[in-house]
Amino acid sequence: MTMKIPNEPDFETIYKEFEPIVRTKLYPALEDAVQKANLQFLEWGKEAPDRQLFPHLVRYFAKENINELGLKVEMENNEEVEETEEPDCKFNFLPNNGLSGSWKGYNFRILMSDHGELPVPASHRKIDFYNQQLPLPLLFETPLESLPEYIPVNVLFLWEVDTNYHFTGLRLACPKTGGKNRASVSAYFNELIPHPATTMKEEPAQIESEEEIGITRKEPEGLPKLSNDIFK
Amino acid sequence: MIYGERIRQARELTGFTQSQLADRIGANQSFIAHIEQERRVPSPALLDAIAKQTGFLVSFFEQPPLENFPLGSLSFRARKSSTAREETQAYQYAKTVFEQVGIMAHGLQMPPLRLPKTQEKPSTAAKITRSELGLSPNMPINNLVGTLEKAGVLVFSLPLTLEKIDAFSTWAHLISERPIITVLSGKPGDRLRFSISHELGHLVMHQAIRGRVSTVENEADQFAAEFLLPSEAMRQEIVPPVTLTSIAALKSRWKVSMQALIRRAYSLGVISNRQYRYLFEQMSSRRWRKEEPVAIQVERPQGVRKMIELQYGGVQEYATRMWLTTEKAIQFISPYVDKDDLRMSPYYNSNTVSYKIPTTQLQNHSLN
Repeated sequence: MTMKIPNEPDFETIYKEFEPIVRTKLYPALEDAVQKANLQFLEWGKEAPDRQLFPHLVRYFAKENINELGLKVEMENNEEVEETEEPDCKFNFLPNNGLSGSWKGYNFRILMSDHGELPVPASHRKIDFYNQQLPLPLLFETPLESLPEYIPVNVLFLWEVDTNYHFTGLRLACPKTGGKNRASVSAYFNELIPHPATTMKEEPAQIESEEEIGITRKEPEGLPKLSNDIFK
Repeated sequence: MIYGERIRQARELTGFTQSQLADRIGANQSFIAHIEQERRVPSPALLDAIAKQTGFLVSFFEQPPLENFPLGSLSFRARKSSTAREETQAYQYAKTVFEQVGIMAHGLQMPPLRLPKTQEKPSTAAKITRSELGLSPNMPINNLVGTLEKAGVLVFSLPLTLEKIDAFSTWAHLISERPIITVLSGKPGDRLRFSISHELGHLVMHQAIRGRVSTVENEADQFAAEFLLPSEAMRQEIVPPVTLTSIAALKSRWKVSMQALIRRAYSLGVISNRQYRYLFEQMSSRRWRKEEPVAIQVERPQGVRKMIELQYGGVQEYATRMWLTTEKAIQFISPYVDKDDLRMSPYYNSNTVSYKIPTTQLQNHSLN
């Protein structure tokens, strides 16, 4: 089933919806997961990470981090996880198949970016996802008022690395079409999310009033003429 | 009598070499050298020209020069990394402000001094200092400069930007012995807070320098790290996942640079050497080592401004009493006031980004 698209989705609107969990949960979780994956390869004595294994490690560490940051993702080893701090944010258990979940009526998947582009979907479920086809259970179970203002509702978070496998950023993309080859993939938007640090501000300090410095006037006695005496 | 030392002070403070000053007033370098050594006496016209070029009044050159303003940390911190002329300019600026404060302090009640002197190791010295200053042992220091000023430390702010010098400090005799921290302009607030804390470490621990300069500098850095980022608090707050995002959040709370926080996390063993290197590589690739995100406001000292307000009420009287042109006086006070206040001043000329003073407008300009 393909959803009717009444409006063109835009990055600002959808990012605003996700911002509360992206800034404090998803971004740091993925930033650190890439770091840990790199360090793991160094630990194993490898000069460079293995291209195939790297995304799997990132996914594993990202899950660990997401759990530590208060959301709930099932681990592959059925390890017990804490209750979630954000009941509206649900992750699906997809062994060996990226990370996916839902938030405020949107479905999201977390994937490795393909040099800044959306990766070519490798399964029928991903192709459906790219083509904005809602899974039937979600369609029937979600009350209409909970669906986001903008349809389509499937979005991608794409983490990216440089040639050294160092984390360079996280993208938010909204796929439009997807098939089995590069040419079939298109998106409504695919934009880099600002690094959370660039939007942080100094916490306000308590500014004491100038009077509290403790400099006050003595009884008037006239100012001395400049001489070295006053410094002795 | 004209004091050669005063002419040297004015020249060096303005940043001129003898040749540069000579060129500007139509004399030669050796003549300036002779005046400064008091082997020759300048004509009134030449003295006027020197005064005009340096921004001091001729009467300044008639005042007996101030002795005994120690170089303090400038003597061992800056030498390795800055030019001698820059160092001298900063020193002469601080010496002149110190002299002004000495004059003003005689009519004023200064806060009692509450700064310890100790031979303890840096981490202990930092804890003692926090306690003496009435600071919580494990909370961020919101207003560092204000806290120091209330504890009787004189904090000078110079309208001077030098690439390699952020701040320097010394103990000097002003009625009684006082610690002085001089802060230069043009650096981010978080960096200056660390530099000020580094200087505080010198004041607390290094009355007499023992050992190598690098050791002394290292101790002052350790002091600053513990003073601003107490180990106990850091062990609680730097928790996995340690990323640039989490470090930036700590910066906004503790008002210390991300680079200092990463170093602190490493020195406390919270992150590994590899993680430390990875985070710095991330900082470099984002070009954040030169310009970090999360701007921290520069803390502005209030003491000097307060003294001028109490004693003179405004710039005009301050300028006259300190033998300065009004333009020069505004330069001296500019680090203590908002730029917007200065722009409101009838003396401020935004086209030249300098402080032009029409002589017909020598009215009293309040600092408020």
